[in-house]
Amino acid sequence: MAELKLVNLQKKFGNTIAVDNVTVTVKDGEFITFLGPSGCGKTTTLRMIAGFIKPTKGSIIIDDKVLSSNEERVFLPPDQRDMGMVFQTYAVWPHMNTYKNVAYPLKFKKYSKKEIEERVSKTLSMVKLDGFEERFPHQMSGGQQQRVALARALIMEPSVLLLDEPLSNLDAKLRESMRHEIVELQRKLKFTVVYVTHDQIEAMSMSDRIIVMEKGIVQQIDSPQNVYQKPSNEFVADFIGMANFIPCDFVHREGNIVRVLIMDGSGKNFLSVPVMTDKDYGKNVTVVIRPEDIDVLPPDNKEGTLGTLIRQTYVGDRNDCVVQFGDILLRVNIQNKTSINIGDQLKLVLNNPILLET
Amino acid sequence: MTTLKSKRNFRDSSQTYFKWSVYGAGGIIFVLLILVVLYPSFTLVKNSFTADDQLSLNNYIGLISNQTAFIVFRNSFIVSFWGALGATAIGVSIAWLLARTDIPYKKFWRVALIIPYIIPPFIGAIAWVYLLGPVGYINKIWMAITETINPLWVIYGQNGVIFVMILYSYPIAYMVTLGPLSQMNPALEEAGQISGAGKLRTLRDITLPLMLPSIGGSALLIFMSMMANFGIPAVIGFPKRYFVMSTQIFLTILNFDRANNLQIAAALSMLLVFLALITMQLQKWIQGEKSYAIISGKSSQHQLVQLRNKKYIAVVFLGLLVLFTVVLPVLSILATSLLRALGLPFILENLSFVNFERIIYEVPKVQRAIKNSFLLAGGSATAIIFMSLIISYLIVKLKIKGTAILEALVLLPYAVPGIVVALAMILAFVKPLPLVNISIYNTIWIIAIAYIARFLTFGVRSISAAFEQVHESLEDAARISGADFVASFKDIVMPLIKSNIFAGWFLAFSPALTELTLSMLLFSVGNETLGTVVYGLHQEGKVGMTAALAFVVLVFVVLLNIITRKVTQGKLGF
Repeated sequence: MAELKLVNLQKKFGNTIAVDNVTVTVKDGEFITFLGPSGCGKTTTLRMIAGFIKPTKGSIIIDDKVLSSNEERVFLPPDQRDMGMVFQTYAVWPHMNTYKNVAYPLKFKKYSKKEIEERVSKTLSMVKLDGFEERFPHQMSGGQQQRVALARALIMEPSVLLLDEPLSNLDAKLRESMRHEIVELQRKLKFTVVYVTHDQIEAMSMSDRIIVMEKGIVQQIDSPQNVYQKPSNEFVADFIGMANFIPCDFVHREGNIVRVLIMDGSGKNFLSVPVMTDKDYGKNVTVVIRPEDIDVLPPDNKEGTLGTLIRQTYVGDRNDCVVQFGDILLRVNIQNKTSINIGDQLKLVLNNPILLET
Repeated sequence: MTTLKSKRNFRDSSQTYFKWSVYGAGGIIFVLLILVVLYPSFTLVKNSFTADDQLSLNNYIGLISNQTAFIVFRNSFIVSFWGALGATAIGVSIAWLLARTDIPYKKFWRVALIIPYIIPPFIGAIAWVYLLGPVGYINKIWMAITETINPLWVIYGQNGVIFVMILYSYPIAYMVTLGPLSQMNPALEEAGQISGAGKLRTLRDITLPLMLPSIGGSALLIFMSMMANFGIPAVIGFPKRYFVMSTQIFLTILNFDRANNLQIAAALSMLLVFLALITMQLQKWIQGEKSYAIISGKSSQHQLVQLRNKKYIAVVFLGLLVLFTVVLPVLSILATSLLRALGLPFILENLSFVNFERIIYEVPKVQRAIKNSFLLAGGSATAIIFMSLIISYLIVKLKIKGTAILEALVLLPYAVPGIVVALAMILAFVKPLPLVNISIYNTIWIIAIAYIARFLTFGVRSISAAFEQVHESLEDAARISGADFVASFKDIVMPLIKSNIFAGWFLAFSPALTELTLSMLLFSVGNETLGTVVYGLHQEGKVGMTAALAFVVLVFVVLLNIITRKVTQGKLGF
């Protein structure tokens, strides 16, 4: 049972602000992910939660227990926080075998030898490492070492489990299966997870909510679906998935629809995009459209606007294409069953547009 | 809300406590370093500018106008130049043969060719006197064969000094260049070959230029170690009154009749220090700025050069080296130590252990020296390890400001020639220490302090490397597992650096045990060391006993190396 609250968290290194004004409540049993490019402050935030870095401002609270608060002058060291953590480098101690690594956290609580043995073997089978007790880290693969690290973090049944890019040192296949395993464990044991990654697929596939960060500032806190479909700003739209950004020339409201016009430069052709929204927009609007949301139809199709195919790249399940519309270049996904050639004229229909005020 | 304030304060204070005790200990060490490094350095500089207790430039003017100073400077330069050239050429050839060709018995060569590195140079020099002195074994055999009374070559003098220096310095070049040669990215050379360059052409156009920084760096390193060497020119040069800077400084210090002798020696030392610092800068520049990123990180798979019928030439070359640097010298020492008296024919009746018995039972200073050397080496190595733990912790983990000053203080006594360190110690401690009014001059303590200052860098290097290897996340993982600061240090850091602590201890212990240069100037009756007694016996002409003791020293050295290898699991020693 642990609800983690970060309130106005800030960290300055000298004069540079690494993390600013992070406020979020992680619900009990929730899987939340800090996502962002390197240097965005996600790891700094995680290390503040763990107690390795002292915040400059703000507080960290688990349930009703204050772990850190500059206002109340409280700062618990990491060993007093009852958390588990998995590190990017695994941080499995090379001089201890699997058993000793996993049993280490129990050393600081009063357990009998028998209890320790039971808990270690229970935890090891949870991460599918039965029989690995005597192995030393150098006798194990990266994936196995990461399981040892996971077991060590879970053995105390921590209130919060922190994961700092735990999968980034594993190969692609292993990464995917570990993803599922971590999520399964979390659903089963219902612990609260704070996960840090720069990999959007990891974030999307594992999290209940994603916190997108950039330059130390939270950009959006939302479900994976919403972060993708309703990005709160250009950074989020650009960082997650692929997107076309088209500046609009004309916006006007027709009932509960906002119609956006995009001119092709010559003034003759335009794309007209209807958007269902109650919100009123000012003049400066950018339309965000995902490549998979653009339909490509034959040039004699009634609907749509004419464009020219100027580049196509075969990537297996589809073709990544660029279509020119006036002076605007649009990235489009085309099913590779359709046979088209560079220079062909196409009709474009834009679906699911996202409007962002700029 | 509960805040757990009391508990926090308790835990937090354990960490703060620890940190402050490290700072405190660091402060004490800093003061100690000032006392044993900075103060003697300052005294040396001051004395070089003092004549008849007055500030003056006379010592330096004397150097310029004095013929002797010019001659010893020239001698030092000639010896070191040709010595470095020869040693580097040999060392690099060996490295290339072992890293890049299909020469047989590689494992054997790897070990055998490094052995000269662990033989104390002055003992190697004494061995060569037994071989190529006026009545040396080789000369006698030569005379017997040619039936003349002319020796083949008497080793005394300049050429002998160069010869022996090369034999005991080439392992440096070999060790420095072996790494880059075997780890160089093979694609660099393959690209040369695919561009049309033949094997030899690739060696000339690609491999050698890429290797130049490490070759140049090792040549400079050898040059400086030869400039600083005292044992070889003392053993090989003195009989022919051939002097280099280090031996000239030694003689000047002992020339008590000459006015301002210590001050003149100080001025001469400054010249040597100046050269050392320039060489060091040059080496840094060559290996820093001039070096390319040629190493691919992993040990690379090179296509080995097929030596074919030239294989025999290569094997003979390496075999001769082992013969000249290890087999002959060791055999000559063993033979001399077993001979009842010098000059007797080498037959079974003339062999005995009488020399060994005599050094142990008849010469009390030998017993004292063995005891003193073990005490001094063990004591200073232990002190060095404790100091290094704190210094390295400050530098690597706490990343304090002023790291550069600390590192410079640690390195300085090793970077300058030993003879200079010895002189600085004499000048600094010849008078009783102020405040406490205790004189350590003519006691064993001045030798201990000199050893600690000189070999501290080995401990710091070894333990700093260890601290750097312990990734921060390993300690973090312990903290988040519930370990407090002290527990994490005890459970995680200490076990991981244990082998480096042993390594650092032996790295400091080994050279201290057979140290000659510092001891020669700092020892006093009752405080002899192994080095001074071997040298003393040699000077007294007690050949059999010298050889016996030299052999004992060699046994110590070999045993130490085996132990070092064991405790470091093969990382050090061979």
